[in-house]
Amino acid sequence: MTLSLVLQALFAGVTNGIVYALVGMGLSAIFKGSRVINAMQGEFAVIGAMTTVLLLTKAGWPYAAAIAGGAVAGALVGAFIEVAFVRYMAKKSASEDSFLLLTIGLALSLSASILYFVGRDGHLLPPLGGEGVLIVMDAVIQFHALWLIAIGIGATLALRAFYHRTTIGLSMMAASIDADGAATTGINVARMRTFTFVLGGLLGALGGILVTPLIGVDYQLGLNLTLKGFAAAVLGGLTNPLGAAVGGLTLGLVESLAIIGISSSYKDVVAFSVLIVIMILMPQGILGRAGRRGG
Amino acid sequence: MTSLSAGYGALTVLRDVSLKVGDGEAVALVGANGAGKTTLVRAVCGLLRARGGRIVKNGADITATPAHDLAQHGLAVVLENRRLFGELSVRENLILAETVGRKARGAHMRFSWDEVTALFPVVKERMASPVELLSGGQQQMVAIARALLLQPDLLIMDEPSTGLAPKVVKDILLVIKALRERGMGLLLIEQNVGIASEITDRAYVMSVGSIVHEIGPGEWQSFLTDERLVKAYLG
Amino acid sequence: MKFNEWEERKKMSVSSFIAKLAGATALVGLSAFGVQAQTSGEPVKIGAIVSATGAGAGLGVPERNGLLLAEKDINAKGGIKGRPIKIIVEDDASNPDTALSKANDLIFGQKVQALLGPSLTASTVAVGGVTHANKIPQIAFTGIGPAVERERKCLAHVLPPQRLNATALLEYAKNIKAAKIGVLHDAGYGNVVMAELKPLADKYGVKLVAVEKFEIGATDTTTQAAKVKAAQPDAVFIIATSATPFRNVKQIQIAQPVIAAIGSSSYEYVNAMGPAADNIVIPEFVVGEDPLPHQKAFVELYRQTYNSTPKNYEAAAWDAAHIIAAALNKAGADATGEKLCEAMKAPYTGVLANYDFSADDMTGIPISSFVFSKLVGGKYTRTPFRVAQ
Repeated sequence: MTLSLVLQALFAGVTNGIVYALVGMGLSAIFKGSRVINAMQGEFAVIGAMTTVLLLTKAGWPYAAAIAGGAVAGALVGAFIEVAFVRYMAKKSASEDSFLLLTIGLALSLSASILYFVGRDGHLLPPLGGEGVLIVMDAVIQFHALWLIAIGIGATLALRAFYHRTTIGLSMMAASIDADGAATTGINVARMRTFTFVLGGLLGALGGILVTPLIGVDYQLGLNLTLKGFAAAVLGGLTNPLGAAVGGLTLGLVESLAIIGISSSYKDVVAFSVLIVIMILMPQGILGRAGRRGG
Repeated sequence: MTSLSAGYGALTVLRDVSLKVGDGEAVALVGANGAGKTTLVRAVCGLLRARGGRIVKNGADITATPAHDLAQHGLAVVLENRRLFGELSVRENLILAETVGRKARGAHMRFSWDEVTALFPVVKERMASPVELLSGGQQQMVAIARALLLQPDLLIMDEPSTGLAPKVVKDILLVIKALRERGMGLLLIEQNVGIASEITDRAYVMSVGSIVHEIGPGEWQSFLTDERLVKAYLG
Repeated sequence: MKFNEWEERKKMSVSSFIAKLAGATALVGLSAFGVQAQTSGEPVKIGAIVSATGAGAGLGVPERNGLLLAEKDINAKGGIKGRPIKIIVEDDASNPDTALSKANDLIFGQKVQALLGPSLTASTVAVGGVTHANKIPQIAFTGIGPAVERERKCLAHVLPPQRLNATALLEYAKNIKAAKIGVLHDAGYGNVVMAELKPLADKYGVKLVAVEKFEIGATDTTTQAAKVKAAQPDAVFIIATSATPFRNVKQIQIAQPVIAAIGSSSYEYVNAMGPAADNIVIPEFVVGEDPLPHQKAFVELYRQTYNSTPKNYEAAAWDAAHIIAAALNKAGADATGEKLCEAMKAPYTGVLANYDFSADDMTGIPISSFVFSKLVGGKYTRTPFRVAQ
């Protein structure tokens, strides 16, 4: 095993990890804000990416505008889902299981709709920073991957700042901690829950848009991303969106290191074994307890 | 409020409740457990939809106003069990209220940040600390502070003394008295009639969802000494 | 019937005879010019099951296109002894249970004389029991599967067994003198081909210096590709039904030649590869952009009808339909069971490949039928390399 191979594995691990992190952060944000486990988080990624693809290729928008459009699409779908479905079910005091069923159903419907409207083809997006690569000791990492990592880290920091330094962010946290206390402190709890879904949709879409130049987007990508994002979120402590960042990176790195350290055949076995061990040792997730202090 | 009815689902808890709090008055609502006092509070502060009747404040009909808009009408509530945001710091709990209060009252802030922190020294000391680490009494102080920052002229307090040591209760009563001196209206829900009689001018007695007795101004003493009445209405 | 009608009928059957003769040698041009041979009478019913939806749709949809085009073509050339052929196409939605119920439907309900398909191995195994028990000749669109299929002497295949696909990969490696091979394969299709490749590698004197696996639906295979790169092979085999490994291989700048198994050849995957669809050789059969002389007519007709370029699965289905039609023409339009089965078992030069259903593997495709295409800048080109028989 050469240093170059280890480095390559680290590059891949971190890149994948940040993608898992972005999806996981959205999932965690939604859970934190509404106690809904969003099984369609990965679909936000697909919606965001597909919208960007369509705006770029069919509508001829400039890339930056198309990306913004894709992110907005994710946010809007999030808002729509909250207003159309979640709010109604919350009024009827639906249980957490019911919400999970709802989001599973939505995930399947959305995936099928995308198959219907867009077809089976996979689509790519232009990589940020061009097709160039950075080569370190024979290990290759695309400029786009570096951008992805930078944006991912930026998003994580921005999310933390958002929650603690903006009124809306604080209000969203407050609404999720104690709805009655929040309402009597002048916070519109229902609106905060909508914003939570908007945030989740936005983060999911961003993850999808950023990952598409590397792996392409198709109607099946959503489910894969949801699973990985969920693992990242749980690993990091489900109520702490920033924990999802740590969880995602951990998952990505464990996968890569398992491939080079043990064998590619056992990658999933090893990755999930490690996750299980972590969960046993830290049942609240890696940043779980910090999450209880508002992360 | 007049003829207020409210309930949960198929259950109607309040039937035809009417009570009044005048400007700057301090009124208590007493009664045994299960009398419907908390339901009343939830209905008044917009957490529960009234089924019948009206709630009017300063001429404005606030029966259907949602909880988060009540600060605009000068109403703030300190709920039972305080309902603070545990993971957040004291500062974060308070800032949320201050922003709302500022928007509701504009430039005429009756309770500025500095004033409130002066009123509650513990708040000043533990600003950065997560609220859940504070003691019960300290948390109660934070809850009151938070309500004040909403700039109310009528404060509703639901069982503020519950679960607190007598010394702490004393401190809280001092704060409430100070607020009263500044002209703050008060609707106090209390099981402990002794406490209620100390800080309010008059009271309503509730039982099984209705008001069964009124204690007029100056009538506290006679009520408390009449064992028959006390037993009959408070169990 | 009236005299005029009878005269009309005689005239039509004469011109249909002429058309059949002309059509047998002249190619598609006839139907292109709108000269259609007339068929009449009770249709000859052939059943077909494909995975038009679900995971196998990448195979099933092209196969269905090939079947329907073949049906038109066969009927344009006079059908089965003047009677029209009707190919009833059912969708098993990539589910073996559905395939079985469709098979029962076709055999007992529609009373078809033969069955074409299914697209997937699991469905073929499910359906094979019924066709075998009821002596329904079957031409499947999968390579040969479990050992039991070898026993079924009326179940033929128009796509090569995986052993042959593996051989083709190794033949090309031999051609470019690659002695050390790195393999990147997926856990489904890849496993199946690898099972055949490993023992063959020894025979070809080729060393598999790296064999890296990734799961189906993997979103990233970069680390596995890096391990392949680190083993410094002379060439890299990619065996997958996804574009992802191809992209990852190019992203980490593996410079060695890439040879891919036929499962990656569809345009769906090529388009998804983006700029990575370059310098990749695929042993396959039909390169629509540059067809072999005997494939040209089919490719043209397909282009005109569907406005797209056909590849292997369309051609395989076309061949299956034509083979059964030829067998019926030989044994009689009402031939069934053993008789039809025997008529099927003769060497046949198809568009996809040469077949011989009398061969042991019920396929008979020789290694020489393989055409080695090369992806250059996202487009297919045909290399001149063939394996001499």
